Amino acid sequence: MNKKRVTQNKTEIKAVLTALMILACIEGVLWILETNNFLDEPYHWGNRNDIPFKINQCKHLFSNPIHRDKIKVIAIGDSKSERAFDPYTFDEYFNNKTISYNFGISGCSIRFQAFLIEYIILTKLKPDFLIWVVDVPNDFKDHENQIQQDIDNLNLPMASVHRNDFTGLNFEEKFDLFLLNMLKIYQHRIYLDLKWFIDEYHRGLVIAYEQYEGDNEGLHDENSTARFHKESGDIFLDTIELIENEDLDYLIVTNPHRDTRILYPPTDYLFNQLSSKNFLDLNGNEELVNNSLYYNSNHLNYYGAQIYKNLIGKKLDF
Amino acid sequence: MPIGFTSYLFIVVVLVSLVIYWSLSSKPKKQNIALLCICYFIYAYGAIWLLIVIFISTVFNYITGRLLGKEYDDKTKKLILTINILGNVAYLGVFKYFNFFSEQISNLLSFIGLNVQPFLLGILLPIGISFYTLQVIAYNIDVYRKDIPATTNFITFAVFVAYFPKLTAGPIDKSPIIIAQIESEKSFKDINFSGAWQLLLLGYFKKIVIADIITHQIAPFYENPLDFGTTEARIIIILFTIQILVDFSAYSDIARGISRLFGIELMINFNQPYLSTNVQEFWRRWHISLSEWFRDYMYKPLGGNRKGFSRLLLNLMIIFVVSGFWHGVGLTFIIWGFLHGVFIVIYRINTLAIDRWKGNHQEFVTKVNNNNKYKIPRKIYGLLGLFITFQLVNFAWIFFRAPDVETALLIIERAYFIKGDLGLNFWTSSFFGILLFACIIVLTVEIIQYKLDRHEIFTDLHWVIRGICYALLIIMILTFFNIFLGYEPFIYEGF
Repeated sequence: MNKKRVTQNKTEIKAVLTALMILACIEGVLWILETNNFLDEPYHWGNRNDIPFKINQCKHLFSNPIHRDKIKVIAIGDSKSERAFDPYTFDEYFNNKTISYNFGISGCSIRFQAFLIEYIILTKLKPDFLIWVVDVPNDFKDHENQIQQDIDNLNLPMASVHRNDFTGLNFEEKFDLFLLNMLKIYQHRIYLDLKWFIDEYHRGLVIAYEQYEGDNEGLHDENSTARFHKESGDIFLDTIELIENEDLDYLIVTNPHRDTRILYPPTDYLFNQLSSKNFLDLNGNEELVNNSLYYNSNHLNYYGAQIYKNLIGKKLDF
Repeated sequence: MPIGFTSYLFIVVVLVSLVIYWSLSSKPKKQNIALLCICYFIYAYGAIWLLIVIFISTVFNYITGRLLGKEYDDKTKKLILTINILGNVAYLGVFKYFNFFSEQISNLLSFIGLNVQPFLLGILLPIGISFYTLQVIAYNIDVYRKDIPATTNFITFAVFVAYFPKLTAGPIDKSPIIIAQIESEKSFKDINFSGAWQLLLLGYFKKIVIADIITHQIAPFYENPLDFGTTEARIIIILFTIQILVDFSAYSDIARGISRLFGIELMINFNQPYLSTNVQEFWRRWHISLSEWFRDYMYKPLGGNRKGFSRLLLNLMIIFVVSGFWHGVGLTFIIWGFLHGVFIVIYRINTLAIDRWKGNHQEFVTKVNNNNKYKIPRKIYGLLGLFITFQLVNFAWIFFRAPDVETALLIIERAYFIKGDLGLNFWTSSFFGILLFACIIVLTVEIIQYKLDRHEIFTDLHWVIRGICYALLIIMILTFFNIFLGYEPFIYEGF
């Protein structure tokens, strides 16, 4: 009985080793594929799967041979940029010398935008030109909810893996991230090709055609007197420095507002450090102070987006 | 909350525990102390009060067991046993049923016009209490019956009560078998590693790849059944029938696999129950340890089949209603138990009628049994039995899963009484894909186990093929592990 069990166990160990070897081979292949940029961003972003979706869509767009010689442009920002930057008409404006992608992500604050620029856009997508749309004053306010949202987003599994930062997590989360970090099989375990479900011609733009109808929230006074969040300002400047160190051309654009320019003096020192070549201030731009160009208090509609595109186009020289 | 089988922490703790446990193999006493510490750590991790609850039960049952083992007269022993059983039932009752009865009494009083607020205890149900209470009652009865000597070593007894692989959801093993294994000297060389590994892999695969996926897909239906069409309702009901088997048998497989690594063999708890051709057979294959507990410690003392046919039927009804109530608090579980009681009673009456008919037509029966011409009709008869049994069991699970009786009735109305729209097309429903996937895998595994008459289905394969199978299973487990970003407990851990 004992002898039979020993034989059984020996055979079992051989089988387990075979299984481990197979897994090691698969793991090796995945490492090679990833190193050579053949693998997509894993869909392991919890409730923010729009992020890997955009990363993968943008990567596929830029790697398409028909766009090989074009100038690759990425516009990043929050929902305001997501609704305002029209990549199709932008490319038309430059006679299709460019191929642009709208990387605006709803609910994406300055801290998270900086993270995406540092770990995703510069390292994985490698555009030729970056348009970074920031919202004054929202992106720089000392806003408790916004900061909490940042922390939550930066604790998303893949965000933590990219940052290699596992602090503040419990044992289960740490172990999960450890596996995500170490095992490619685990990292790429769900390959949901979401592009099947999305219009092929869609390049990250969310369009609203309707005009602004009411919604007088009276936020302007409150916004202009809100306390400045110095850390957000530092993150902004650090990211600009990083972009410059990477020799990437860029343009910082401030968001337009429907009624008037929102004055927020604490941020002035940030934009004063930018050269005029790299800065376009649309906050209070006369062409965009018009309720009919907005579909709600601070998001442009389709018609506003066209003017917005022209203003950016005029600033750039491709 | 004990550390769950499907958490990373559990895997780490078990691996570390195995090293400690086997490093003490030359010192059995120390080995058992280490095992007890491991059991208590896993059980009471993050909830020390669970430790207090189980410790009180352990001490009480250890003392009554010792008293029952002494040479007292029958009357005294009966008294001790009665105190033990009442004590255990009361202990379980306080935690599990007190609030339920309090609410029911309040409802009754309001029915006659007396509005009395129910007195509710603000305590949680200690996980596993239903299982270890049955286990210690069985132990005391065994000692009383002199089937086993009373355990004198408190550590051995405490390990028997708190042995972590079986603690939260069974199997409710026979006390003589488990205690003998705990007391015996174990050698690392004797571990059935092959069997343990296969059970663990299959258990985790069933839980993570099938059961958890179904759990998430069907949960909305049991909250709002009217949001779903008839077709979907029917598929979802079958999906739960598969889920509960897969979930519970996965727990048993993992428990048995881990236990083997500690050198202790636990009993088989499931033996392809959905391949049963009648409800009685189903209960011989489903949750075997519980069925055996009720048979040995309730059905037989009630008189079993020795007091006439009517009494037999009454005993069966009592057993199944009590079994339903043991499973969970609420009318739905009682109805579930009652339904199974009714199915069994009808089956027994039918069997009696058939046996009488066969007795009167022996010549014809012999002819049919011995003639190959009737081989196919006999198989069809068997398949018909299988189909009917599955349908009955499937129907009863509605009450088991539904949050309350009203919802259960809504589900039945939605699934069995077509009212206008059939809902989604059967073939295009997303639930159909899951059903197909689950059915193929579960049926394949069940049929192979049935044919081989063992749960380790890979043993006869060449080690290379076995290795490929393991790799596939591991990839599937890794793919679906923690996919919903949260621990999904086993269904029976809730009882």
